[in-house]
Amino acid sequence: MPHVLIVEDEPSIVTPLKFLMEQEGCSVQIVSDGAAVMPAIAAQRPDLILLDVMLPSRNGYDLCHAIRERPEGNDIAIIMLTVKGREVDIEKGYAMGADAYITKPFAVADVVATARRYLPDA
Amino acid sequence: MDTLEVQRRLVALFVVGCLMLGYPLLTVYSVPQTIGGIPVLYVVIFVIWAVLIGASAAILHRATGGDSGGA
Amino acid sequence: MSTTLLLLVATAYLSILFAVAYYGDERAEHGRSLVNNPYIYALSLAVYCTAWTFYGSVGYAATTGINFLPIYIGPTLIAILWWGLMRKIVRISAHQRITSIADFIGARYGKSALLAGVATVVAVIGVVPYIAVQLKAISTSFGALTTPLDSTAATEIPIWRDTALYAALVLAAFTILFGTRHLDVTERHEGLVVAIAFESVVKLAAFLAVGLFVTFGLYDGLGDLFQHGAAVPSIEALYTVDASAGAFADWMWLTGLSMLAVLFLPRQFQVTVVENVNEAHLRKAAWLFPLYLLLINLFVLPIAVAGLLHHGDATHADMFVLLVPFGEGQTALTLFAFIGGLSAATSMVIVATTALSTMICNDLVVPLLLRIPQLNLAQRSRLTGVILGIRRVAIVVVLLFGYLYLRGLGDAPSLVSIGLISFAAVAQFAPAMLGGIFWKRGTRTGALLGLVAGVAIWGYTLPLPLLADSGWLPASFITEGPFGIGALRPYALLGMSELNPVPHTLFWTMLANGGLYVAGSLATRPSIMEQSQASRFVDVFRHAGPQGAAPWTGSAPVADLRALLRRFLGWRAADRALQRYRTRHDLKALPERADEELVDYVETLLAGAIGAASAKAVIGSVAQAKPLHIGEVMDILDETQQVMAYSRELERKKAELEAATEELRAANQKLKEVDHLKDEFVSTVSHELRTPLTAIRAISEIMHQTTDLSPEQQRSFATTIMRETERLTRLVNQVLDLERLDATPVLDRALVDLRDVVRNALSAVRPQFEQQAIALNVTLPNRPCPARIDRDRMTQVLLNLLSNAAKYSTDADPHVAVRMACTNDTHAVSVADNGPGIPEDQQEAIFEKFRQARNRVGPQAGSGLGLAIARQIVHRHEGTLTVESTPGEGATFTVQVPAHPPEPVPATDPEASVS
Repeated sequence: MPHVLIVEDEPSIVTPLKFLMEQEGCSVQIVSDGAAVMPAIAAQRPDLILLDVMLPSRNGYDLCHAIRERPEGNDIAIIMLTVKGREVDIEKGYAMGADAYITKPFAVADVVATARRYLPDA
Repeated sequence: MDTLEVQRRLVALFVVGCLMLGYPLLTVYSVPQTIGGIPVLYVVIFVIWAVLIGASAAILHRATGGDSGGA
Repeated sequence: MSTTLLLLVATAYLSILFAVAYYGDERAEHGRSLVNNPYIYALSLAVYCTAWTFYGSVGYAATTGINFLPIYIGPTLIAILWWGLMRKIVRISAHQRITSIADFIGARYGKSALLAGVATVVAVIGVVPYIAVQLKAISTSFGALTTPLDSTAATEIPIWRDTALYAALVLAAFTILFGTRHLDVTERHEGLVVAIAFESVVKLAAFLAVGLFVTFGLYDGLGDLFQHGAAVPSIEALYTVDASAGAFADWMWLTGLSMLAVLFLPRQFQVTVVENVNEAHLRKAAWLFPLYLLLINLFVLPIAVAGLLHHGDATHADMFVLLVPFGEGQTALTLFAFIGGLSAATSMVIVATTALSTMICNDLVVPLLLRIPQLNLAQRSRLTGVILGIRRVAIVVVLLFGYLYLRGLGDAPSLVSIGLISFAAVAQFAPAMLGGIFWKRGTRTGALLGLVAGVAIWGYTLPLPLLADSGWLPASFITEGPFGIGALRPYALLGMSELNPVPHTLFWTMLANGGLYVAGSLATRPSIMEQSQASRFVDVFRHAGPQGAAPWTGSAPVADLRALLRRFLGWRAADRALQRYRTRHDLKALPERADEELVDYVETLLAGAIGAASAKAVIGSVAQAKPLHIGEVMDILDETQQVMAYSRELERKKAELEAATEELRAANQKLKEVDHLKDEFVSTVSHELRTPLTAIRAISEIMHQTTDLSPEQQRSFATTIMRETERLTRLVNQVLDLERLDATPVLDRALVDLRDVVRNALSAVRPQFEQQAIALNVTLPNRPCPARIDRDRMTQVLLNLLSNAAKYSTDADPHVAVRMACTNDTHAVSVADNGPGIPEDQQEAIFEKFRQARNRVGPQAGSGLGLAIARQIVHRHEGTLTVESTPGEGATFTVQVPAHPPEPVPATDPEASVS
């Protein structure tokens, strides 16, 4: 079962994301604080991370970069989900190592399609 | 000797003159002794005076210009 | 000795002098000038040595030893600097055709007629007593040889038998003859200078002759003479100097004073500057003149010693030069000495009077006459005669004044003291002169203030007390001060009694004069004309060539200029001058209209005849190319003021422009800030909107696509949608709120008890607190807290603070404390939580729109607008909303609003009466 880590501090957004990922047959772990992300990855390596940018403690760009620095970091797919929709923000996301960048509000279909692309076939 | 150099020397001579012919050095020359019967003070003042005039003449003699020399 | 013999000798001497002067003038007429010679020049400078030197030095030496020497050592020292200093003055004067020291000062400060006039008055007041001294010396020397010593007759002789009067008249005639023979553009008097040089030779020879006779005729050389003197204790005391502080001060001050005097005495300025034909002569004169001074002083002390040995006391010491050879029966030598004294006195009187008359004419009378329209002076066809007439009258008047001064003063002061009073007067020119040639920033106002203040103090502290000495004023004026005011004692201003009168005066005048000159200059702006003249004076060596740049901008018909020149200089001189101009510029004929340079040339020529200020006025009338009208002439004098006003106007405009630019820059800066804030606002609002929108959209899409949702799931999703919709509504309301607050400052204020507002807010949040199990601790005062506030708004503020406190109550044992403190001035409500707190660097930021402290972890349901709105509301109430926090221990928000002034409460409260 693929493992997905949702990093998001808004409970009302966590709810639909969790639902969608579980429908895709993944196990889901939720983290709402930037500081808790790296320990969570160390505890159980996810296959995919849905990463918000504006987080308490540590922002998403920073986290993305930090994950890529780790030895197993390149095996993790990272999709950034954020309200920061300007060109520069998107470029920055890719520069920090994101595989995909989706701006909020998003269409559910987009998220599911993108996630499927990076999830190992169950 | 250029004009500026002349001016410098003249100013130096002026300062020396002011010191030599003023207090408190005057009190140094002011002694009861005499030179050939003439009071030391009297001799010294006139000798310094004459030397000042001679020195100023010597410096001015070597000054160039005057008709159009600049300061 | 018979009166006839003396008169004969004196007449013979004066005749020779006339002849010499005439010869000098003749030579000059034929172009073989005697004056173009550094030795004649140096000898003419020796006009510095007057009867004061010839008779007075010996008198002074007989009582004070070598204390007469500073008067000659000063000039010797300053002469060393002449090559730089005096050459500059000479060069400037040649360029500007300066005719006197008053003219120099007036010309330097924007060709100011006022300043030149004041300087003239100062010079006359200062020098007339000095002339009186010379007349006195002549009559005393005459009396000393014709009447028995110690006769009292000398004091009250009738005026027609007073030799001084006749001396004055003869000297007036001589001066008129050789000082005002013709009006020259250069104001030079060659015959006069030759005569003065001749007199310098005579007085030096006479003095040396007496000195040699005394030293080698009466004694066996200097050593022998001094040895004889040493036997008498009072004479031996003259061989050393006094080491006291007073003597120290006297010596130094007098040295400095005589430095200034030799530069600025009108007669010295006349011979050194005005009569100078070639500035290269200064090179030799700068050491020949001091040499002359040395020689004439060599035998002063020996003659004084011999006089004391022969006469026993110093009563007649001022006449020892005559009395010693006279007493030895040396008639020829005595007559020679008499001639020497006469030459010393006459040379001074002649040159001083010439200089003063030029000043009085050019800088006082002509400017005044030009201002009298009825005279129509500038339209008179021949002015040469008028000007010479003015000068001749001035000469007679000055000499008569000198004589009257002498009669009025009686015998009280000695030769030396009156000379020093004159020195101190002309020293008042020092700040304006020295500042004028070295400091461009010096202005007319500064010079005028300094000069007037200096002369006022001089007059009060030196000549005025002499009136008390002569009995014109009560003696208590000196000893107790006017009206008994001790601080105003003329010899001890402000109680400064340590200095002798002359150093005392010098100190105060130089302090006032120099200080006001500098302060006045810095406090005022020089006019355009002043600036132009300042740079021509200060930078004279940089402006190469014989003529400076033209200050007059304008042109004039040459015919008018020629007519003007002829009027002031006479036909021949005028035509010769224009001819010279043609030759120099290689012109076949003069143009019809003169260009600036020619106008300037003519002005300079005229300046030589009537002074710089008057020349400017006269030229101004012609250069206007209109019939000469005196009113217009006067307008020219005011041109400076107009230019100045114009430039001030420009200055003001410039300042205004600069201010406007600055305002624009500030406004632009502010706009940029507002723009930046707007951007931030929009981006933050959109961000805040996106979050609930994202949730709503995602969930509704899921609900739409997914058919097999459990009812439980459906309700959960619906709840989220509802909550997020509420959040959106709240957000929109708050944005609108904020806008409304920004737009309408009006609060619905009423007098309420703040406690009620707090209770109201508490009751609204109590259920939420209970639900979250937050302990609420409330402390309210038991007295009313009246305040004029908008009840609803203030409730909104408190609700915001309370819900924030609840939001951040993440502690295991959460509690919130509400406290209220009321005074007569302010009421304070504080809400304290024990949550995570706010880092110090963010405590201000949280009040900004959409800002939430980053590290305040917890359910972040707020919009980020709450605190910004709350603070704005409190500010509208003239209150403050602040936060204090220690991270990890909680935060305390405090609202302070002004209290409504309490009603005057009648003392019915039992508790109040007990206390």
